[in-house]
Amino acid sequence: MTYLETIPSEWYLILSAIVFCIGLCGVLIRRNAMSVLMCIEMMLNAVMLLLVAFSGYYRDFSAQIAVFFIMIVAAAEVAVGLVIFSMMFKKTSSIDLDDWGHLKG
Amino acid sequence: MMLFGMIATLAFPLIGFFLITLLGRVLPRPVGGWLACVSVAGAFISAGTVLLTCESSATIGLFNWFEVGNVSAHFSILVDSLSLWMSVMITGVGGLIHVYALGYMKDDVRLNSFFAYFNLFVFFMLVLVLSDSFLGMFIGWEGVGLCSYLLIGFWYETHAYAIAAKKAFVMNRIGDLGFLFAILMMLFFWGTTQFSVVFIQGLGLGAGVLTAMTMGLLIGAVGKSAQIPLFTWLPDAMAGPTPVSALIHAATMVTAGVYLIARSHVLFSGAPLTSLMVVGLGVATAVFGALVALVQRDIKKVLAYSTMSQLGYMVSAAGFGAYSAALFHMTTHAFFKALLFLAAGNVIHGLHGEQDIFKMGGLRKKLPFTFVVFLIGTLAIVGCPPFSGFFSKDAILAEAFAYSRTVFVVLCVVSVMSSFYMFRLLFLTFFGNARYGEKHPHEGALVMQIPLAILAVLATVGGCLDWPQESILTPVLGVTLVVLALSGGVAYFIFGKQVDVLAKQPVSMGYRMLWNKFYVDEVYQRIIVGPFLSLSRGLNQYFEIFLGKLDVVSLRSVRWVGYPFKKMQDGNSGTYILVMTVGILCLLVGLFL
Repeated sequence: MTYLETIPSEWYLILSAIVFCIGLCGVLIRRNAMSVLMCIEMMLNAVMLLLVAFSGYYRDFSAQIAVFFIMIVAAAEVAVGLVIFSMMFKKTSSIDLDDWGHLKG
Repeated sequence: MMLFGMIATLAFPLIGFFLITLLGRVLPRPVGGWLACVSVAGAFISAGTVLLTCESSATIGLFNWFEVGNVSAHFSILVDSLSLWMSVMITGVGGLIHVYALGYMKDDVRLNSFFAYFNLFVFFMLVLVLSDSFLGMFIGWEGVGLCSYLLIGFWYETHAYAIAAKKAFVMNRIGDLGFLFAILMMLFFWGTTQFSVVFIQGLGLGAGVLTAMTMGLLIGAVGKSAQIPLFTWLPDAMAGPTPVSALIHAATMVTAGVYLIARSHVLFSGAPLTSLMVVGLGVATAVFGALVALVQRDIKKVLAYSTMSQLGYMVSAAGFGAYSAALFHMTTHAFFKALLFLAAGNVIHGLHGEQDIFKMGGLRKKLPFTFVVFLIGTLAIVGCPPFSGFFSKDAILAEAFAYSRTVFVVLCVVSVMSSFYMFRLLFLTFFGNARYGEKHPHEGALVMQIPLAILAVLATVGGCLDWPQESILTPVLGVTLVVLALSGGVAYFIFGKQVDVLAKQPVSMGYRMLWNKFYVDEVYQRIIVGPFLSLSRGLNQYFEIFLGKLDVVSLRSVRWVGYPFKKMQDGNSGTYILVMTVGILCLLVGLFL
């Protein structure tokens, strides 16, 4: 019995759902690009938490390796996103998503 | 050896065509022409070698073209005496005309395209005679039609020439439709158009079906060989350069119809009704062409109607079963008609484009060489012994005599008429007073004279190719000589003297009828082309308006339907995500609750 399993798995599910919903609401409501990016990261983290929790529950730790990879990819993604935002900010002096509407095809 | 020779025969002109087409802008102009000559000469040598070395006939499979369901089409070369003989004739006469064209066309800016088309024509003609199925033949059949179109309209800057090319193309399409119909029938019954299958199974069909099939083939032959009623394109096709008229519209392409009938004689022998029609159309065309040729003033038009008349001879001969005689006449005709056309080309060349024989005259002294070869050609075509035309005409007349006395008599009358118009042409061009004004006629270059000399020899001795074994030679000999002397004398009496021919024009009803070619063109214009054009214009006028309305209506309806959905794709990613989230939620709710 590892320390992970001292907490019932439902709690992980609920926590993950809450974090995911917060992130989703943020994406839907906030217009600030930085906030939206952070909320997307929150959604991603919620899913990763779920993955780790189930991997502990099933005692199959290959999923935890996968999570490390996802974290690395997410870091790279955030870096790219931030660069895009800073370039956009230089161009439009705004970080508001609604001001970037002209990017649509 | 045979395989290699046959492939080389086909490949030479095709490679020549591609080379000249691809390098046409780079090559200096005469080189393209020489290349074309060399490629046809190569094909001639290959075909000749195979003809001399191979005794038996064979089929050489090349590739499987397509196979759909139970329909299959293999592309193979049929090597037998007929196809080999045709190939040698096409490449031989074609090669001579290629060389002649080097001199005739040397000042033309588009010389290289001319020779590219010429080589392509030779290739398609070889495909036509060498393929062992009707489908393969049809490819060549269409190909030569295309080349004919390109070459008739070679000087397309002149509107009338472009129209003539279009006319030839469209009229040939009518014939091709008949041919295609026959091919589709074969595919329907046997799933193949291979000669070997068709000719064995063909007679097993009912008489009605066989008649329909042969009628289709006949329509194709009628279109290609300029028989009544699809002949009006041939005189107009004289718009092309003279070597084109010699090669395509006298020696080779127009004889494809005769070849088609001769090749499928097994089918025709099983359909007496069609054979009767073949004879009827052939004889009618022979008479018609000869009558119209009596009064024409354009040197090439006279030769064109004469070609029509001779084709009528061949077609009728093929109709009453004298296939070898028809093919024999086709060969000798290729020699002497190519000779006549090229000699006429010399005259036209020497007079800087003048084609009206009433504006010639007295050229005997100015163009002695041309005069001699033209005289040989004339003597050959009128059937004067011992020139080649005598033997081939005699062969046809002998078979006609055995078939039906009426046909025999009519063909003899045509023969008399043809000798009259040919002597008229000869006398008006080379005898009498000079009527060409200030021009200084001159002989063509050496490249134009050598092919003429060779063709003149062939036209003289071509009769040896098929010495008639059993014929009515002796009586025909006497009759022919008397007829020749009479018609020649009459022609000389009317046209040979130092008279002002223009003043001698009779303006009788009959003359006007002949001069206007029995108004066939006008009738076609009135009953087919005119109504068709009016229908098209009417459709254009009313249907266009309707289409315009339909256009506006469909535009509005699409815009009206699309309007509500337009808002959905406003490019706002927030909206997209919201819609997506709601959609996924609905899905989840639907799945799990």
